[in-house]
Amino acid sequence: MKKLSFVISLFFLLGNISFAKEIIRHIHWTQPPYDEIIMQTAKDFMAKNPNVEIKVQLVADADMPTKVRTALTGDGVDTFAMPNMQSPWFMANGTTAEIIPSAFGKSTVQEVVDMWLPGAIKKTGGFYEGKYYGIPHEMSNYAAWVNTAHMKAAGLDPKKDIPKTWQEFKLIGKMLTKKNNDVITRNGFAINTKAAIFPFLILHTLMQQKGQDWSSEKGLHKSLTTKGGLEAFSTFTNWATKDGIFDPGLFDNEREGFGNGLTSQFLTGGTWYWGVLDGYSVKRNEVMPIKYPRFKDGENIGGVAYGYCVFVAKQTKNKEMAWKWLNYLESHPEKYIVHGWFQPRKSLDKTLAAKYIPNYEVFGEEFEYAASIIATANFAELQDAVGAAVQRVIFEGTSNEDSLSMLKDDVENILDM
Amino acid sequence: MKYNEKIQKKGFYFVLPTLIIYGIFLIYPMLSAFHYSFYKWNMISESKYVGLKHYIRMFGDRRFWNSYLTTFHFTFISIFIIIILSFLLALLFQEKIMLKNFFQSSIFVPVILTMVAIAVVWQFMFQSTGVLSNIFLDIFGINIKWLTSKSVAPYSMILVNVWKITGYYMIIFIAGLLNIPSIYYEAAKVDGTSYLQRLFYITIPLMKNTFILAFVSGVIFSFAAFPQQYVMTEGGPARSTEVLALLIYKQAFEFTKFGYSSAISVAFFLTLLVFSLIQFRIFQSESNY
Repeated sequence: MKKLSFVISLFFLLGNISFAKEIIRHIHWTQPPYDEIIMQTAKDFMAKNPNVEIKVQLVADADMPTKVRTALTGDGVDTFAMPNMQSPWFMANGTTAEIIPSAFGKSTVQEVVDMWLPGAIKKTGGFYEGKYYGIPHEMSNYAAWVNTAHMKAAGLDPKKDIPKTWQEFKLIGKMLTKKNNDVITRNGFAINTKAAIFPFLILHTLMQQKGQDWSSEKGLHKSLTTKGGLEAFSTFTNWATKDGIFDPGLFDNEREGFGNGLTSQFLTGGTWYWGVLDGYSVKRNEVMPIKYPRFKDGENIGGVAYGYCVFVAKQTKNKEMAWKWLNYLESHPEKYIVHGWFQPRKSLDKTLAAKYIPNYEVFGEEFEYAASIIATANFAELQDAVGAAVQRVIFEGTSNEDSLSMLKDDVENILDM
Repeated sequence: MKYNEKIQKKGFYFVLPTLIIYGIFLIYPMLSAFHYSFYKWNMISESKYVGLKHYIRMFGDRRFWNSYLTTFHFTFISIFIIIILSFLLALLFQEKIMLKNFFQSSIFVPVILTMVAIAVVWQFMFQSTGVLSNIFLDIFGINIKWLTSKSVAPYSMILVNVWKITGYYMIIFIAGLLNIPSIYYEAAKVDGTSYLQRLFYITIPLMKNTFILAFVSGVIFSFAAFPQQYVMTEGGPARSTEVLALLIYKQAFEFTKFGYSSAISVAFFLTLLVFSLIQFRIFQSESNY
């Protein structure tokens, strides 16, 4: 009996060894309708590579850096996506592996880089201190979005009355704001003040338009004591405190609010928003992306350019196979473009962008003037400090000057100045 | 004696699994936090010894003191309201009222619900066009900014906390009231005392231990509040609801300052230790008396 048990156990053990698959654990953020594309791509890769199993974990965008960091500590991730605001931390702390050209069928890293549009990997956060660690999953830039149905209902012409300056943006916001007994029931403009990243990104553009350098830590610090910096900051906070076009209590998520018709304008949508909008009640023909307004006397800078890259964790055992998976993941830009999601791979037929992204010319033209986001390992703390500065003015009644002064102290603490 | 020793040994083996789990998931993390409070560590890179630097920073950190005071404010006002409300409900349910069991159960239901779900629902109710806002506007003509006013938001958090845990302390007070021998009340009635006199001279003195238990356990429980602040406001507006537990979370998991976060955790632990020692001393003095 003992001999029989031993033989049976050995049989099962050998059976398991022979069928053992290489597992690649991938963490990605969830964003319908793109989740289905990622899951299907994983299935297709597994069909082509039967000895590999791809386990995809989808998490909320805001939670992704924390989840990935925790997973890295416990050796629980092999590949992951990360936005360019957060990726410098991971690259600076040695958690990411450099690109392996052979996984892409290339001989040099430069040949891999040349598979994407010029500068794409740098703009999407896959480059750090002279080395390439990531390949792009998305490249986008923010446009301003306006509900043209609201404009028509208010007697405005969506062709002629599109705001071109921040002054016009405010005035149109006032016309489109709806109130019921002094309670705003539809915002003229909205932003998610709970998540500091969104005010930070809009302020990024406003500051750059006022000639401030928010693409570096020193420039950001310096801007907090300048007249231009104060004007940019005040423009933003006035939308809530003085202009009466924004009530943060109406809803949190401005993308959702815009999609449900509860706000007439918002400033944090890229080309991908077309696909997101399809899940809400507002129809595509009722909205329009437009160029970011400018200051009359300001620089010609548009909404921020940003992106996501996918990375291989340094601890991954089979890095070559992991890069093969990521290359496969990023080899189908045509599947994403139909929903408005732009991937800067050269293999993408350029005419598809114009075909599937309504008003693509707005994003394309604006991209040339897009603000470049600061690349720093201290990004999380800096964005939190900026978010707090905005909240002090909007919710506490602190003056813009005092709040910027406190922000300056916070930035100096963060940067150990 | 030998038989007693055998029983004790067997009893020890029965509690050993719990002790092991307790040790792994409670004692070890606590000691680790204390250890890391002296190091600079971001969870990924090698940790670097910095001595008391985090504690020195903490004592001069405006944000830490804001969180500390916010937590005290939240805790003590919550507990004050909860104790009074739950005691009054316990007194009410001593009387014969219609559908007593139904009302008792309804008040207790929030206790067993998860705070995250509660926070999500209350968040919708607190929106400027939510049900609470509409009620106050229609009835009182007041537009209350439940979650977007720095002065109101902390009380919105307290409201949710009171709603959630009043039922639990109501049960504790009901149990305390049931422990009072009815003979005291009968004797007092014979002496011609009023309801209020019986309440203040019999009920409350004999419920002293229950009040102390409710107060100290309530403080410890409320001090560790996190889900409703994280879900509903993320510490805003303007950090007016940023309690200590939330600050610890942000420092660790958003800013990757695990060393500093651990130092704040130690301060958090020491504060609750003081409360626990007070409870222990009071119970000891009560039992001696």
